[in-house]
Amino acid sequence: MSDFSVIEWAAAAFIVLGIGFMLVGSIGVIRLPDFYSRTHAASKTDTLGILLVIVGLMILEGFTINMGKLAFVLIFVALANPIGSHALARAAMESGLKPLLFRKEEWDGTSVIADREGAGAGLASGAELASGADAPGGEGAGSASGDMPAKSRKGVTAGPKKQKKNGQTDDKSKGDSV
Amino acid sequence: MQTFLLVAVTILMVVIVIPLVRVWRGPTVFDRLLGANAMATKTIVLIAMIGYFYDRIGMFIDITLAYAALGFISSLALAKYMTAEAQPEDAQQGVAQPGVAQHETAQPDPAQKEEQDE
Repeated sequence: MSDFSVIEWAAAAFIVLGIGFMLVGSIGVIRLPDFYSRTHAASKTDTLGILLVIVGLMILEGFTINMGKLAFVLIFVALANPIGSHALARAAMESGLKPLLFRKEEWDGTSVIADREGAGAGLASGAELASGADAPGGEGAGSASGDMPAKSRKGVTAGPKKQKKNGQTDDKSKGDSV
Repeated sequence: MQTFLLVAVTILMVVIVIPLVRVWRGPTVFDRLLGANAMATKTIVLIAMIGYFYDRIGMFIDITLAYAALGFISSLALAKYMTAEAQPEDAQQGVAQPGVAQHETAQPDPAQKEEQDE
């Protein structure tokens, strides 16, 4: 590796940087809590990572016809990847999947992810109000303050919904404090 | 340079496999599509780097172009299909339409909903 020329060092730097961005994007796809935030992780970091790696390969290639083809791939990816991600996010939005921020305040018990999280945290829904009020940071405060207007405005009094919602809050606060 | 490319391709293979976790246990079908799309877009770079590793970039770059176009078209088509698939279901059950938050919709149990979603 020590016998690289300057061109090869530059290409290697671009390739390493691009693979690093793609690694961050992959970790974000499996770690972020919501479909829309996962879309954010996947689309932006993948586009930038692919662009950087292809620029590195273009530097390695030199000025040939294959560099032109790589430039075409670069332009195509830079246009197509955000379009595909946007189409996917719009399809999810049109079919009724709500974002997590929106779901916390006026969740009507019909979203799939919230349903599943509520079912997972349903066992620990005993001390939900106390821990929800004790939650550190702006998240617990936001959900606690978002609870009251929802009740007064809409008159939502369903038992299971309330329980599941607070169970979700309980789960979040536990994850924050640990 | 060949050693560097070999190491880079190996690391990139590991990076490509990571979103398979999201395809396997995505809560919704859109998460699975997102994971598949992320894997497909990263595979473009993998093919180009394998072409440099074998010193036959003139052949592999065409494969890369075809793969990029195929991934883009399939992603768009699947997004359209999922939108068209999800609309009648929502109209039937009153699921998550804007403005029906006051309704007392029946709560289907999560396992059933999951099956429907897949």
